[in-house]
Amino acid sequence: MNPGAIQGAAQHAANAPLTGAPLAGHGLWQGGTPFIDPMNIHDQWWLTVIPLVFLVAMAYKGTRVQDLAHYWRQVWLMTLQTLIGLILFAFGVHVLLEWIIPLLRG
Amino acid sequence: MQGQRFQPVAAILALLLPGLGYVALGDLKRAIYVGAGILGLIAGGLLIGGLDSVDSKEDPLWYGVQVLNGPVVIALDYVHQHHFKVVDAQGARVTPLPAPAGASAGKPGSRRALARVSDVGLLYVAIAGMLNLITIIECAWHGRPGDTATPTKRPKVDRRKDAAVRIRRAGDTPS
Repeated sequence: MNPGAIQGAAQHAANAPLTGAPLAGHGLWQGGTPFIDPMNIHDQWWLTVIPLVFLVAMAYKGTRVQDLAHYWRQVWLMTLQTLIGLILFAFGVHVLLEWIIPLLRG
Repeated sequence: MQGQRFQPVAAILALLLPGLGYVALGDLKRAIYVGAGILGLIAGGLLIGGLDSVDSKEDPLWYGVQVLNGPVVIALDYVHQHHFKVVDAQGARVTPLPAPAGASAGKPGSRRALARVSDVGLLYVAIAGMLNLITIIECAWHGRPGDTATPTKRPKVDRRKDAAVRIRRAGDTPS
C-alpha cells in the first residue's frame, strides 16, 4: 500500500464519528442500559408529556397546597387541566396551519 | 411579607436535596411529595434520554438550569464526564454516537441521545431544576412552623358588604 493511501485511511479514521455500544434488538433500550443509554421512543416521544405533567403537578402542588388532605385531588386536577390545555393548543395550531393559512393564501 | 421569616438552613437543605428543606421545617409529608416529584423528574429524564441528559460540557446552558437541583445533578455530570465519555480525535471528551445495528465493536461509554429523545431528557431535568428553585424560595421565606404553603386562593371578600360596613362606621364617628 502506498504511503498516500495509508495517510488517507488514517485521516478518515481520525475524522470518523466515535460510536458507542452497537444497537441490538428491538427493545426500548436496544441492548443498552436503562438510565445510561437513551430510550428508543423516537415515534412515541410525545407520550412522555403525560408523566412530565404529572410529576410537575406533584412537585408544584407540594409547595402550593395548604391542606395536604386535598393534595392528590389537586395533582390530578392540574394534570388533567394541563393535558387538556395542551391538546386544545395543538388542535388550534393544527387548524391555523392546515386550514386557516391555506385559506388566506387562496 | 407578613408572618414570614427568612430560613437559611431550610433553603440550604432544599438545595442539597430536593424536599429536604421541608424536613427542616418539620413537614415530612410535604417533603416526600415535593422530593418524589422533583427526583422523579430527574429519574424520568435519565430513563428517557440516558446519562446524556446531564452534560455540563456539551449542553452548558441546559446544565445551568439543571444544576439548580443541587449535588444530585453535579454528581450525575461528574459520573458522565469521567466514566462514560470517550476521547475523540481532537482530544475532547464526547458522548459517542450509537453504532449501527450489527456492528461488532463499540467503544465503551454511554450512547448519545438524538433528536427529540435528547430534548425530552434535557427538558425533564431542567424543569426539575426550576421546580427546585421554587422549593428553595418557598423554604427560604417561610411562615410559622407547620404553616408551610402559600395559599392557592385568596379568601373571598364581599366588597359591597365591606364598603357598607365602612360607610356605617364613618357615619357613627362623631365629627
